[in-house]
Amino acid sequence: MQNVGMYTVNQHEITRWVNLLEEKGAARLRALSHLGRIGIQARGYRSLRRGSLCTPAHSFLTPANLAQILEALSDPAPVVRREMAFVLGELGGETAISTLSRLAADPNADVRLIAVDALAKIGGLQAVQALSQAAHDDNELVRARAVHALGRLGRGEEGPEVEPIRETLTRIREGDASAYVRDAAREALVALEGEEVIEVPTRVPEPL
Amino acid sequence: MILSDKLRILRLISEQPFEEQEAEVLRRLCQEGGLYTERLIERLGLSQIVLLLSQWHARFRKSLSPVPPRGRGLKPRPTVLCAFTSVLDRVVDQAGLSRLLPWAAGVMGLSPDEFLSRAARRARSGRNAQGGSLSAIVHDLLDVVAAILYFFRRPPALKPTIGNLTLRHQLEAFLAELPPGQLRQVLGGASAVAAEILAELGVEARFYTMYHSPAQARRHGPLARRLELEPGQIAYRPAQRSGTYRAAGLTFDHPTASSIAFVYQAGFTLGNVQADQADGVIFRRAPQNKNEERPWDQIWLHPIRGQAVTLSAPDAEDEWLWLPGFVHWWVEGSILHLAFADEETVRRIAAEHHYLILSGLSPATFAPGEGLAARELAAQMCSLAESGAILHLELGGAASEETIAPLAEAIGGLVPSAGINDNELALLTSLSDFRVPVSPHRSAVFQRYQRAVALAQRLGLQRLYVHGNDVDLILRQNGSPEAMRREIEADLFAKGVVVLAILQRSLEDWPSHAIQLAPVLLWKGFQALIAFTWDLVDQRGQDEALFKELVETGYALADSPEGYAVAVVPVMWPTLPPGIYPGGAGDICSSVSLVYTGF
Repeated sequence: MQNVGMYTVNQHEITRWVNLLEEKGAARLRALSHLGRIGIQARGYRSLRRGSLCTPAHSFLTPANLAQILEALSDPAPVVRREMAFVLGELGGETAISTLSRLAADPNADVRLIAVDALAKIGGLQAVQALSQAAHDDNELVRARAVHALGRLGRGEEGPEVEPIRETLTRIREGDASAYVRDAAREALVALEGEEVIEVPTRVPEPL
Repeated sequence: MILSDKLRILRLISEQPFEEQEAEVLRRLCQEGGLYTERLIERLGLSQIVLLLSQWHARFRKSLSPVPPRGRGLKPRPTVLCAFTSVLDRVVDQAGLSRLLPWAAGVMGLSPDEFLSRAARRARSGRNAQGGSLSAIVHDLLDVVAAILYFFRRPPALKPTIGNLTLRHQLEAFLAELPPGQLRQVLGGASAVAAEILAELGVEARFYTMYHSPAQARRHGPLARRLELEPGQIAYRPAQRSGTYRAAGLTFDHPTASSIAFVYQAGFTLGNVQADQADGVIFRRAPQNKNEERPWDQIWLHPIRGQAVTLSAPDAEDEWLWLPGFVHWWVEGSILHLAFADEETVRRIAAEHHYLILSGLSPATFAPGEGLAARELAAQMCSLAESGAILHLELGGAASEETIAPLAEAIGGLVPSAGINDNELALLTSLSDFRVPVSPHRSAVFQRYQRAVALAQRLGLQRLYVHGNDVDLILRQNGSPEAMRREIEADLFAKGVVVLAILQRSLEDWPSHAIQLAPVLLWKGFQALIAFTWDLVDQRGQDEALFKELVETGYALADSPEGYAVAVVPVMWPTLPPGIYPGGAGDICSSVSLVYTGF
């Protein structure tokens, strides 16, 4: 059993499913999904305990585990690469950032979106760099998720690391082609300034 | 400006952090999602659920954009008439409901334990003091408590009628003893509330109801208008102005249509019976005038053609008769005269509106026993339909002894659109002359879909909106992809504005509550969406590629020229603060979404 902060994961269980990744097709996907479940259980749900701007989340994977998982990186099925990105987000921690950065540029938009989500969970400056690139993705949903993640990671933070994020978000707020992404950037900037996102209108509207 | 404030609050709700919501839904689906979810994970991985959640969440947020849907190409400023329901709901909160049991036991001279035991027996049988259905009518205080217990375990609650004067007086006495804060009076009735919401959204919204008392008028805003029927003419008055009538040379206020609603949260208990979900049981009563007396003792109904007939007056001397339909009424001598508006008047009403949204109708409305009134209403439906306006019915349920045939005969081919609650749909499709076969091995939501298709076909509908607690199902005959996307967008938007309306009518400082509303993602909604989609894919002999497309877009086109496209929209509904009364929310969402679909 490995304890990382408040979490406990069954390392034998991880290794058992990692070993099954040598299979192809549906069996490999199944093994990845089981690893994902372990991550979900380990993280709990009330408190996500994700990484922050400068401190990436811990990894639950041994170097051997990680190496075996990365073999799925070249899998031709997008669904497998996507599932791998999800697993790395749940279990991989800082050791998975470089792989996830590659997946955030995958030809398949679904893979990119899950990779962006995974980077957002892990955090750290290297992840922020990849998220900043993803904030210019072709896909509107991927951009919006990346923008939102940048705002969340930068929330309440101070220091020189925040300025590039602010610049990126400002550019997107002013110039993105999608109103939805521009709105996401506006929200992210508000979060970045550490302001309360929610403001109650001062005047109470008339009854409906 | 007022509207933009409201839309801004909607936007703020949608901006609530969503990571935890999505994580919670994912966790629950992993643990409790059942076979359908396991099949999804097996074929498409856990990450498919994350994709699904992110896509639907984005869709929800887009639908709450500060730009209202009509600004995105839908019909500008449509005119809408909502009829026939308006009511003053007197809402008793949980603390008040806790007082009911000992109070009622005392009135009946029983110990609370004995009272509860008897009420629980009736609740188990589903039968009232006279052997009828507790869902339909209550005759004494034991029935009242039994009905509440019954609906604790069988949500959603229906609306039993208060069956006699004695019981009504007992309940009024109970309300009078409640301390301040445990009883709240709010505007109810789908027609009145929907008109209020639509008016504020910039729609030219009117409503019609037979009676409009000062108590009802006070709860309206400044924008909606009320249609008033005068002999040979129609007029639109501010909804804030109450209705009056003349009798014996004097002017009187209209009577008040009201109800008593007991609301509770999931887990609330009476005795040892626990409520499965947050809900409210509404007890209906006839309209009543303020002074507990009425200046008439006979009712004459004047048909459009032929001689007037006498109707029996309500037993209680302060109660008035309410009829669905466009009815002009006046008091002359000791007679209440009721006259259904003639063809020309009804056509004029219809011609002045793009949409006519009619509530308060069910198979019982057109039952053979309703006689002349039912025939007159049916004739009005024909006249309305011929005018070119779009007719939409909010359908109610039916008692098991009723039949579908009179309703189908009255509206078949006339009404293109309807809305119904999923529970009421189940009742309608289990009637003796309309037992819809469903696939026993399919999911509950797919069986609901099968019932919905059967009902739409039986009534000749082009569109049917089935609102539920997990998903809303929307059928559109030959609906195009664009039409189905608009249906989904309008449904999500309607949910948002109706949540605000519900908060607003219940809380003085509602904006501060509104902006704390989260989460909106309900795992059961996504579970139902997944189950439905697998069943549809299996039924059509398709593969998981189609599954992925359907579950992400939320709609499937018809598979035959005469078939129905279907949209499945997970209900995104926040946890409301305790004691908030969501009565009528489904019907109101149905009305609002219709207008915003551009149907």
